[in-house]
Amino acid sequence: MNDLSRLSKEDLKRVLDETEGHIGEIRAELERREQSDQHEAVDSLELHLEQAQVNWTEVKAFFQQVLAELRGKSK
Amino acid sequence: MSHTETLDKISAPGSSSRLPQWLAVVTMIYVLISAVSLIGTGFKAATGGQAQELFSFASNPYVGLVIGIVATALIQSSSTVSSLIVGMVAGGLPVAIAIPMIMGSNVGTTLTNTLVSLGHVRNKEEFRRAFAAATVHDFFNLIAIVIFLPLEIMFGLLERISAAVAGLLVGDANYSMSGLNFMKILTKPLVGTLEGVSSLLPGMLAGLAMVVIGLALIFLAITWIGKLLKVLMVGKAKAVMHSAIGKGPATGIFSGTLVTIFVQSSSTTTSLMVPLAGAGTFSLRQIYPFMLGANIGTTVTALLAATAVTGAVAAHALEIAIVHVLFNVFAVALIFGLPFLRNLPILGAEWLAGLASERKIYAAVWVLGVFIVVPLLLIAITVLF
Repeated sequence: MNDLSRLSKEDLKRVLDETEGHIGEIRAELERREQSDQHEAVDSLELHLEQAQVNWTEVKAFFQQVLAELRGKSK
Repeated sequence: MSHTETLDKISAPGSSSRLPQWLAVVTMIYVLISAVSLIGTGFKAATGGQAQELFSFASNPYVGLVIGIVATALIQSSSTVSSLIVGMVAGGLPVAIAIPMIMGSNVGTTLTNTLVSLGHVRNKEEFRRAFAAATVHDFFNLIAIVIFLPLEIMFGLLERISAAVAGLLVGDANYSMSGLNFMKILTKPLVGTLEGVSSLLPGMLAGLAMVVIGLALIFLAITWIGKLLKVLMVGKAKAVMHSAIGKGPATGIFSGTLVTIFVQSSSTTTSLMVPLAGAGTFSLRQIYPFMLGANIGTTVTALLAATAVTGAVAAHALEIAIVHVLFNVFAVALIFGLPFLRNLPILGAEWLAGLASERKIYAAVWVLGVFIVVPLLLIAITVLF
């Protein structure tokens, strides 16, 4: 803050423009990485299609967890 | 070896080597169409042409809605239920009674992806994301019903528009080619055989047997079409999804529609997005339009089923299939199109997922409540009062 207070208005505007530029670059890089992960996930579509089914063992385990949660609460 | 690997093993790269699988798809479509025709005949026989009177209990739209929800939740296939409803309309079930059932099937089918999300319960943040991804679909379909069911009760909007469109396309004739009863001729061998087998039973039982056999065949045909197309169309589905990445929501809706048409199952498409959302690969706002597209894409099956229906009732069968399309298209256009409505499903899903990730009982209450308890309570109230 003390450093900023020493800067002229023009310098402050320059720093602001540079910072906004950096933020834009960071956002673009984050978006690029996110989309890269998404493309990679789509490339494994066959695997995800296999997994896109109800696993009744997992559903049973879920309801067992719910019951355990309720019993834990009632103690 | 998984089903996908078994089906894929038959083929090698190259379209000609996939010929057996495509022939199997065509065969299953033939079975589907024949089964719908069989249900129409069986339903008419079982009800003695008195379907309207026998189904007067379902003339209460909330009962029809609940029937649609519970039937689809149990069978876990909106395509099967919508094809069954098309067959029943062909057999004399009034379209006005069938419309709430079609709306209910939209809700019932979301049980599948909600159950898939429960598998992520071991990791709190993953479960929160996965459950939100699943329930955004639930919330959207529930909001669609809250808006469109009363409108339908008051104005019969969907029925009127679909009747007009069906009338233009079909009129009094079936939409066979060159005036010939093409579909009837095509399906006669299988339908005739099954009718013959069923007729061994007396009277109404023969009709019931046809309906049961037809329902079983629809379920088998749709299941196998889905399995086969998952293998055959995965390349095209990938291409569509790749092209949608980084684009806007309209592209998301369109890609969801196309992928669902490719795999012929909205449950598959929407369940596919749940683990991807759970892993954080796709955000809730990114998969939301894709889920809506799945709602639209799945309506193709009912249209396909309606091609089975010939004669004077062809228009009615087509009408209910068009209702299915219009309901989903209008719901997406209205709820997603209006900014103040668009975010409601996301807000609802995020709120519920936040609660459920802290205490699993909320998820259990949602699953059991929306798909079983509340629908059955509604029926009980209707019956008692």
